[in-house]
Amino acid sequence: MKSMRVFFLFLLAFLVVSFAETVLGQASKGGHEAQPPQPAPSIASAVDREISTIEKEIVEAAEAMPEDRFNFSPEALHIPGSDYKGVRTFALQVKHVAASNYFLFSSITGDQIPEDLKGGNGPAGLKSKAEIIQFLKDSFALGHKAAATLTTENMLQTAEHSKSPRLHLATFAVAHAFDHYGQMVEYLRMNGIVPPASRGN
Amino acid sequence: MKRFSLALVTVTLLASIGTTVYSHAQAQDQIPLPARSRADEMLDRWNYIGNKLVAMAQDFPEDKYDYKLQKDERTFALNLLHAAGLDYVLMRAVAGSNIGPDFGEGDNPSRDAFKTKADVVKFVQQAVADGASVIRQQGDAGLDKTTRLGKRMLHNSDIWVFAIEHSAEHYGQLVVYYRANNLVPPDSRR
Repeated sequence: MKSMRVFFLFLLAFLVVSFAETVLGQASKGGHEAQPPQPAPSIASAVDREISTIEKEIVEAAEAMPEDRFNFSPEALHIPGSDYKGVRTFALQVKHVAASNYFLFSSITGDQIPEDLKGGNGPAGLKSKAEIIQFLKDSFALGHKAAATLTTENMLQTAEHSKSPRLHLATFAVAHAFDHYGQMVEYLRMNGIVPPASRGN
Repeated sequence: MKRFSLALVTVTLLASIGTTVYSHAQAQDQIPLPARSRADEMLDRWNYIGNKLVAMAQDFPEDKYDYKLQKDERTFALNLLHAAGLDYVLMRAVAGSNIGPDFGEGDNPSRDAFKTKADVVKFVQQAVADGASVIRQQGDAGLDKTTRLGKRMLHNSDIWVFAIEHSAEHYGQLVVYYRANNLVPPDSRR
């Protein structure tokens, strides 16, 4: 009987130690709580969401700039010690993002680039704020179309009309737009305008 | 960015001229490129923007580190500290460990903790290197895991992409700071 009692005591101790190890092990993972298994978002939806994020920020920033200041360049402020000669105006920042979107996303979709899209600054004929913002929105529409074509099978394959993988083209387009969004933010503030995305802060 | 525009035009022209020839050559002699993983792609994007910030941090004159364009903005140094600080907040969550130096709560490290240009450069370099290390170590499997950030569970790939985009936005702001000081950003000089 005594040996049975000793056995059960050992068994109990083993179970307690095992349980404690499991609980402590999970608790010690630096804030990583037990993660309920979640279905991974598809690559198409994940990239599409990133495109939507920058689209919202950059379209709202463009809309926030008054039409009569749409061709603003920091050069006009003559900030002592500065050299903004030849930098893009606000309008050209927007057109450049849109043109780059067209070049990058069309490499994924195979769509024809608009005929009047000659270079990185977009069609020269687009002048008004409304025209330029529409051009921007259209470029993001192509982005959504490109995102929808991405699959786990093709995302790392080189796009037919490019030397870069499809995923690279799509994510670079977003990061590139964020770079210029950062510049647009400064242009807005130089005009005393708080960027819409920062107004809640 | 002028370089980027030129590159786009060049690529477009080359593409239109070369597509037919390339298609023929490809059909006849298709050499498979070495497979790249998603983690490789993420690492490229991470290092690309991270190294651009490091180059700025190293290049900008120390006596202008506390320059800002408008009164309600971060200084040059605080922009860099914020970008690297948020990188740490995110990568620590993903890695589940307290990587990197202690800079207090939040994602806006104080200038008091990073007084000199050398301190800031080192911090930004370390953030880029530490993030790269986590991406490399965790690989594709790590990108598919989820991490709790505040009240939300997010896929790690989303967290990395957010960090990259956030850095790109602050890079864009610093481009304007550069020109305000009669300087050309390092990436635009080539």
